[in-house]
Amino acid sequence: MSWMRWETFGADYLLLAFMVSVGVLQLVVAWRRLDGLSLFLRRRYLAYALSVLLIAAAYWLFFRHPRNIPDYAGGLAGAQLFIYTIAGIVAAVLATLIVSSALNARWSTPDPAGVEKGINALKRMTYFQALRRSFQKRGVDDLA
Amino acid sequence: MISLDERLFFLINGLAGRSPAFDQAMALFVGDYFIPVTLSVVVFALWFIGKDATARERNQRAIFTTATGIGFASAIVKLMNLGLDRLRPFEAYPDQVYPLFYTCTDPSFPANSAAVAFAFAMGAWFADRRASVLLLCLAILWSFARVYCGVHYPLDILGGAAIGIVATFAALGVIRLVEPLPTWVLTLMRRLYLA
Repeated sequence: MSWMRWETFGADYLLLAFMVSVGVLQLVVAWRRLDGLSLFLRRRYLAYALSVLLIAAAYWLFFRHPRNIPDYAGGLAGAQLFIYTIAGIVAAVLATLIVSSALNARWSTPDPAGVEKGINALKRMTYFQALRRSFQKRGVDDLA
Repeated sequence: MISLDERLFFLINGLAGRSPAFDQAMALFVGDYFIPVTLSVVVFALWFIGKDATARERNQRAIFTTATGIGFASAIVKLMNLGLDRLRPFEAYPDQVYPLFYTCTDPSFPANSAAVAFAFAMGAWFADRRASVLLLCLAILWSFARVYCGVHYPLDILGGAAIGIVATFAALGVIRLVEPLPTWVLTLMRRLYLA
């Protein structure tokens, strides 16, 4: 029974870390205009509002139950807390990359200044488009 | 010093029980989840912000320092717990402390929560001062709540904060020592459009 309780608690915390990370990432995406990562169809103010709502909902969902529970009675120990937090953040990044690439698949804007490097490329194209361009460029370089 | 520490503790813990709303807020902040997850996502956001590529790279390097600093701080606290065994306030004064948190089983000094929280704040200081101030406010709030709810003495918090700051400076040295490893990681992440 205590194992079941631990599993539920761990899953709840993982969901909290995931939802808050997605919300914070969308706030940053809207602020820094990384439109290729937008989950809200590149609408800046809608993104701010929905991101704040998502973060508030995540905290509410987790803290509506009593959570001051020690690790010896079903709460999370320090190492577990660390692992679940990292897992939530990584899952949030992966989900954002996949879902934003699918949602914005038909969108991309030409880059007049040439190819931007790193994450800045995602201001003009989705993650998958950037990866594809990278592989195509490498193929051309290999032929040359 | 100990006497002053305990007097200050009773002054702060003596505020508990007067306002149910404030007690409820402190019970939320004192826990192992609200402030830790908030600290983590603020540092996570640092990875993506920065006016230009140079500022962003500085932030990303600071995240490496922060993560290493947190690891060092936790290790130092664990080692100190082997030799120091100060009783928690609710154990030392069970009839005088107003507890708002569960009974922890590890030693009171130094406060692991303060060590970790101040390592977060100090790590961000090297990159983004505004984010660092926000993290510092969260660290102070968490530390105050730990005293208010009867979990730690103020001296435990000061000890933990000092460990967090020193551990982050040590981490900064280690990160410089293992160069070019952080540069390789950042270059790989940049090629994958993740940095």
